[in-house]
Amino acid sequence: MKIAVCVKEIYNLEQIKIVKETREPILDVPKKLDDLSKNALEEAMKIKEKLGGEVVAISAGFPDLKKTIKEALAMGADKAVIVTDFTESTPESAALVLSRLIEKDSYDLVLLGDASSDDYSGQIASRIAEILSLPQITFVSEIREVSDGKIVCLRDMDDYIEIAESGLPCVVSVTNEINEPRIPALKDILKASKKPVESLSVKDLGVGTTRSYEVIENLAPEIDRRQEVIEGDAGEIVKKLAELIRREA
Amino acid sequence: MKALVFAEKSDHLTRISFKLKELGFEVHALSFAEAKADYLYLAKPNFDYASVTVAMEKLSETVNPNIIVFSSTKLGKEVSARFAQRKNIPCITECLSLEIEDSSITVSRYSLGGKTVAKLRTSLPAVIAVVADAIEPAEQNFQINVQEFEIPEFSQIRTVSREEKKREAVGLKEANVIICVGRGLRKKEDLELVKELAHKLNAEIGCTRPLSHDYRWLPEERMIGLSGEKVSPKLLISVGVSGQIQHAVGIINSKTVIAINADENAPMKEHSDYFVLGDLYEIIPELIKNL
Repeated sequence: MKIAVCVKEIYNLEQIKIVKETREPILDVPKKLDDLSKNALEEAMKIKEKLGGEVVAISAGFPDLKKTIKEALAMGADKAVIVTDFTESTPESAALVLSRLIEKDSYDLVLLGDASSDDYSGQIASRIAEILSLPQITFVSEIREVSDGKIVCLRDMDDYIEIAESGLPCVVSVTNEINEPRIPALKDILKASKKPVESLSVKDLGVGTTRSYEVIENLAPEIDRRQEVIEGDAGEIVKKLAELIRREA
Repeated sequence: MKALVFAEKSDHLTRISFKLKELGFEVHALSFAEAKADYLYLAKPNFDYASVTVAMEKLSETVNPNIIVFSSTKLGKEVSARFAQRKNIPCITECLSLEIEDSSITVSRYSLGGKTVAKLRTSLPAVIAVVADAIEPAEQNFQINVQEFEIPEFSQIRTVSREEKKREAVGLKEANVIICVGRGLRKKEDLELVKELAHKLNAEIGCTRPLSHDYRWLPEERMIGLSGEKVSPKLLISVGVSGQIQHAVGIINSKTVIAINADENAPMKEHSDYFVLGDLYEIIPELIKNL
């Protein structure tokens, strides 16, 4: 089974601070592999462990992706195929670049997260499937069965649970409830730097990236709470707290 | 200007229709049940993405809409992206508000994992997926013109089974007092403590996503946050909740927020009016005695 896993490099969101006066985010923080990408990788590794084959990490991002992609290789991907000059990212341009990278080889399965934790746009699976004329099974919380030519998945939708079956190749997007991604051991991290990484440019793929929308502003919402801290002796705290609750409830 | 809409839930569809009418659109809508729109294309329920995409494509050829709007549910997002890719037009999902100006639309949506709200502008025609609960349109009058519509069968995958999720009736939206629990709670059995407090205060219990979706200690419908309920009680008591933004956006409309938390650096602090610094396992049993 040959599996392509589309992974995304994102800002370490927890480290993003907000400028108080302007409410602007400070984006000068390290990047990392998105947690949902790790869920997709973990699922690919489980399939490989059962059926054998190859897991290829596919990604498009900024030049520092060369470093971030090592996280995917440390988790067990056999190799990576990446584009490192992808700076104008929209869902449609990302889907197009990823599809071109997938097309360079032939895969039985394309796995990815159901969205990315930063934008939560959730468009990439559908767009890749449309570009590559493949079926899609989205929001998968469990892969029930996978064999040559067939996959059966449990889909966790808003109001219903569905079991869906598709022939392969197929695009499958997974939710973060599907598994607990493995944490690579030191030896895996060391091994990762020896694994092959094919690095391409947007130009190599013959695709232009366009911006289909304009970002007018991107600011932290205003929060207007008192933020009064109540601390000290447990007995005192409880007394104050009980008073507050009686007053506000 | 014309809008073509699809939402699998009729209450979502009606809200979206109200909003689009408010913005001056003639609303055409594909629906599985009765709902409000100028032109309602009533079809048998079909939850297959490929079939719904083809149906929307067909309708779009006859209606020739300036905007195509979906409810930002999982099915809605799946179809909106597929439709936009096919039509080669922009698509923005998870939209919280819409404004129209000439031939462009400005939407707002969370960005950077909810740390910020981005305003994005794109030219029409475009595909927009709207969080139906986030928009608050005024009610509009429609002379509803109903036509039956048959969704063509175009499935690419086979649905083996589909089962409605069992929902417990939860009164979070109407509750005066809510106690919201987070990962500060160490084990499922400790929920008894929270229940006892809730009973004393006649409060509903809500929770953060890990408790409902990862640990499964509480049903999904009790989850408060970006992908769950947005609540507006008189008093919200937050217990052992770190205050990640994805959760915090769900409590923004609470009148007063009291948080009990052992970590003075928890992001929950800036979302609280009163931040009680202490161990919930010490405070809550004593509090119950004091109420």
